Amino acid sequence: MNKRKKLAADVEVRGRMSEYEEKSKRRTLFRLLKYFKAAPGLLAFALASSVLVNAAQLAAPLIVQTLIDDHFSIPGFDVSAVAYLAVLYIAVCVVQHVFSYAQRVTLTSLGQSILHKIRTELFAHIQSLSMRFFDKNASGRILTRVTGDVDELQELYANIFIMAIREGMLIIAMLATMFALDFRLALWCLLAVPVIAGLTVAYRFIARKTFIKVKSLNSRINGYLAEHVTGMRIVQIFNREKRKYDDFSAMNDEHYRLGLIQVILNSLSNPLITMIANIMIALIIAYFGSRVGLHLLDIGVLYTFTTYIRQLFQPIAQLAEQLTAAQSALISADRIFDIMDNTVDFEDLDAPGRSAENLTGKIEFRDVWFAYNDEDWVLRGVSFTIEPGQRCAFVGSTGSGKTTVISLISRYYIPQKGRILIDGVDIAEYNLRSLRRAVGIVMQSVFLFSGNIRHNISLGDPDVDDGAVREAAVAARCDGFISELDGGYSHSVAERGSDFSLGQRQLISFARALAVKPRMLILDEATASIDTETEKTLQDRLYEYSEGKTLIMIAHRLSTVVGCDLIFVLDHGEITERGSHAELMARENGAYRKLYELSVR
Amino acid sequence: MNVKILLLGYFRRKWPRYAAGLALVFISTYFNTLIPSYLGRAVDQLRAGDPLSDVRRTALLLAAAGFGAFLLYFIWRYMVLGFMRGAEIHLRRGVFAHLESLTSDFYVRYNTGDIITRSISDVQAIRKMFGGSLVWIANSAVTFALAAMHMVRTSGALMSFIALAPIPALLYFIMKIRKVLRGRQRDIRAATSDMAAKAQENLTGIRIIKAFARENSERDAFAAFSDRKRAAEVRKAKLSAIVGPLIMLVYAGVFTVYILVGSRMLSAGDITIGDFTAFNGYILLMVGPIALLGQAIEDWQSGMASIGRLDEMLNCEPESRDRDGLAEEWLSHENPFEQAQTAADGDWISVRNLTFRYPGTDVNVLKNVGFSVRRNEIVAITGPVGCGKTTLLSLFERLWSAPRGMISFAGYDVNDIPIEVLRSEIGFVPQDSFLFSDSISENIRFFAEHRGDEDVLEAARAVAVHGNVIEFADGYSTIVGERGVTLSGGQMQRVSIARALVLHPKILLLDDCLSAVDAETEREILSGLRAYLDGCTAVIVTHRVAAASLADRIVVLGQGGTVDETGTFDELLAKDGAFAALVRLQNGKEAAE
Repeated sequence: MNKRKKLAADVEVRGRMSEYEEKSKRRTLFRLLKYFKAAPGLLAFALASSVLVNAAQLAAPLIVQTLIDDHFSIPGFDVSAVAYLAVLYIAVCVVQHVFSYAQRVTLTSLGQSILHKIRTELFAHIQSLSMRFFDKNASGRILTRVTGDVDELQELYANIFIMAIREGMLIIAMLATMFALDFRLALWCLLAVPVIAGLTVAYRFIARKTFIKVKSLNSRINGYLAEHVTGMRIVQIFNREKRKYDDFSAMNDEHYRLGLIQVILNSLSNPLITMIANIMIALIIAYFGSRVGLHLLDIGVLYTFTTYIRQLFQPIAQLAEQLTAAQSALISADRIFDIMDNTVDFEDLDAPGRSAENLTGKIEFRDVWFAYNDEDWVLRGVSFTIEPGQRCAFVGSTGSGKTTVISLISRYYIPQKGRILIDGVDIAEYNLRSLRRAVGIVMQSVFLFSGNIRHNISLGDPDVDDGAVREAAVAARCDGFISELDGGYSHSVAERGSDFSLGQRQLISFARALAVKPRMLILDEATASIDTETEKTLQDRLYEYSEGKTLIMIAHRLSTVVGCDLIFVLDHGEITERGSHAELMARENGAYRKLYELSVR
Repeated sequence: MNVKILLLGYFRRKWPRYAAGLALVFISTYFNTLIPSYLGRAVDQLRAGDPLSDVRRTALLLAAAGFGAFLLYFIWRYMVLGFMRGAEIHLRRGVFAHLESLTSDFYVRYNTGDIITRSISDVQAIRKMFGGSLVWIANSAVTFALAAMHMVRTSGALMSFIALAPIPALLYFIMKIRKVLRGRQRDIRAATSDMAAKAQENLTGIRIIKAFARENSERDAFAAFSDRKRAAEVRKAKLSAIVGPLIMLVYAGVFTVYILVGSRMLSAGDITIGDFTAFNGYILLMVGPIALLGQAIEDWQSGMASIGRLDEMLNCEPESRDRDGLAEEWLSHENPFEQAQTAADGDWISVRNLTFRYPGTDVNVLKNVGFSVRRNEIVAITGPVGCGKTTLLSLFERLWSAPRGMISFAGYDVNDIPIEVLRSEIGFVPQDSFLFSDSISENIRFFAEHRGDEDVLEAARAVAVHGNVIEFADGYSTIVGERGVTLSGGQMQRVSIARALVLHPKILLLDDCLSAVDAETEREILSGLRAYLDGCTAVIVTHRVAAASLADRIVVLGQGGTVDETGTFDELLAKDGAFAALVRLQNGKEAAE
């Protein structure tokens, strides 16, 4: 019960948010329209075909009207004279439908080109955002922007925009023709337009509310399923199947309730308009009947009017139906533009700067203060110098700031205070791309990409050829098991490398770091999931490999840092001790000594 | 289990609603076909100069038919589609319950996205199949039949035939087009999901991409995927856009023929101008359903495909499950987990000659493994990566089924203990800690209703995560996971241990679940555990010698899934075997020397 309330509150908040978004809607719309400039030829052709389709659609009933009034209504009319009107009729229809086809294909082509453009622009922009952005936004949410939200725009570009223009033209032309045919009757019919418009607005209001609710519920159900499919083992281990089933059921009950509202809404919109058209037709008949001494010619006009009424109300009805899609498309567009407009987190890899190619690898922190948010200091005045070729380690408990230190070296984040220098130059002065390439990182969490092993080591970098891949694999001690795989280095990696053990994956990510021949190598808790023996041999190889390179490591297992030249002990963002293993062990009550003794018992 | 069984269960209970809805479809359609004939009648009455009251009556009838058709259309849709909405959630619940029963082998074979697609989109497709689709097919058939009857009455059999004749040809052609379209739709879907997969991979691995400055090649790769989707969409549109204009054009042709034929009939006095006008109305009535019929037939076909996909999933059997009647059998004797409180002698957990390979593979993960655990004993299992430690623990929990006679608890073969009993007696903490996006306290309690806040706190303290939790602004109410705070690896591991502890299991299995915490914390936790676990037996898989040293006995597995050595810490040291080597390695003595 409580959950449902929470759900309702959640939906409520989203509803209010979207109302706020309404204000910027016009701006968003304008911006969306600007994308039509991407393919002016297609746009022009689509518009030209629209004019043709409309003209033909308008003309066809008029031909029938002529037929009825000028021929059929005259007793003893000449049957053979009808043939030319029949030919004219079919000719007009051919034009209408052939161009209608051309128009549809062009519109799709146009819409898809625009969507492709938006998608790639968005993705490219996301690539250029810094880690801060990715910290703030869950990857699932960003993914929805790139796929789901762009798809929402599809309807907008493939249908709604053009339909508004096309049907708008049609409605005006039709009304004009009706006025020319019978002014008073046309005036009557005009009365139906506010009724339809009013119904449309009311419908839009309710439908949108429901739509937002359904959308959020759908994503909840999706999320719930995703989470529980992933964590099903936990549910089973703890015998919680029944409980989880009940949760899921409750969510589905809500889905059913909203579904019924949707059914009602969908069943109302179009049929209601059709019914109004029918009633209008009945009224027109009654109107004609009241004109005693009816002129025979008027029967054709009656035909045209009834045909137009159906064709006039239909576009309005269609537009009404599309409006729900337009609503959500605008919300999606806002979300997309929000990301595209994010300049705060922008980082330019190729901004001109000093090349970091031939560094010696001297790293210096001068009174560095850093916080991920506000004044929540993670590093408080950290200063140290690591000489080129030194092997050093950061140790300390979880949350002491070890990982943050190395994140700053690669300029994932910029410290609020203090300076970081590499080879005596502030890192801000380096070209970011060359800086990142100069630092090889092996991370705590291993990530394998789809593709083969070779790709996973080279990451598609043209500078890393097959020889370099192999060399790196040998150095990382994974050449052995890779060679035994089906296809060796061409062996393709299944979903995130689930067919490899955690340790094997870690070794591959080692090779990846070694392959770019970095000047500085950083290991962030990189050996945690490797068994001790492999770790030991790997470490030997690493030391050998990193001869002359700067090596920084973070490790929980203190046995791995014993051989380092310099060890820093971090505590709540401050360096409390520094020195070699022997020096630190010599301290009577030293933090490091305590940690070490604990770890070896 | 399959879709048919699930749906029948629902249909059997609620079919009258569906049947009544279908009946209304016919009446509503009948009202619709009345409208053109009333229009025709009005035209003739106007031409003949009939009294105003007659014309008005016809107009009223037309309006009434329009209103009736609308009302009934609304009602049948509500009944039929509402019915199918109910069927949808019934089906989805059934699928979820089935998913809950499936074991790891299933989750290895099917990826998460695939399972979700089947549980949501395929279920939706089945709803549409019996909702919109089936009803439209019925609706169209009725419309054609009634319109044809009217046409025969007013304009003769020939014109009626000409109007109906294109339908089979059109449908045949439309279905042909749609068949090709399905292929193109598949291309779109493949292109879309490949694109999404690329984006997802990119976002998940963004740190790596940034670390290696590979943004540009990622950008190009994504653009290629995006362009593939664009091309696929256009290819589809080129074909799908044919259908609508084609139908309209064919019926423009029919009407052209009618102009020629009808003018002759008119001049001969066989039909009236009213009949002529009405004919056009019938054509309009028929054109709508033809276009939708193609859609309906396709929905039907895609529903069939979805049934196939869903059945494939529903047909999956859990790899490990209770044999029939086990639960009843179990109830007939006393719970040995309780009995053993007094009879403490003998082996509490016993593993004999355990050889195991995963179904469908031909490599033995474990070979002739044998060891035993006594009551209240803590046994550590250690060994190199890939030696089968995790597999061993999974077998204890019956996440996979072990062959008979190899694993037993309190003298009972593991296969003779119902899974539910087994899992409620054993607390298992898997290697990859997984938390649900819920509050921390709910993650620890994990819906164990009989455990209060005190129990949660106690468990959290035992794993030394209490201090971290109270530092969060919302404390134990902090939401974690996708929609909340991201815990560090170590915090997640500790919370997931607390989740097992809070139940005070008789047996605790820890699968290398402290790898992400530092040595000091680990030691704190392990000694906390000892006190907390008073009266509990534990099997701990670990890489760390320090952790293993806290155990009463240590089992060392070797590469290839065999037991290399067993014994107490001191015994193994004295033995100077594999374990002793490991101890030296980890203590860093070699490095220090």
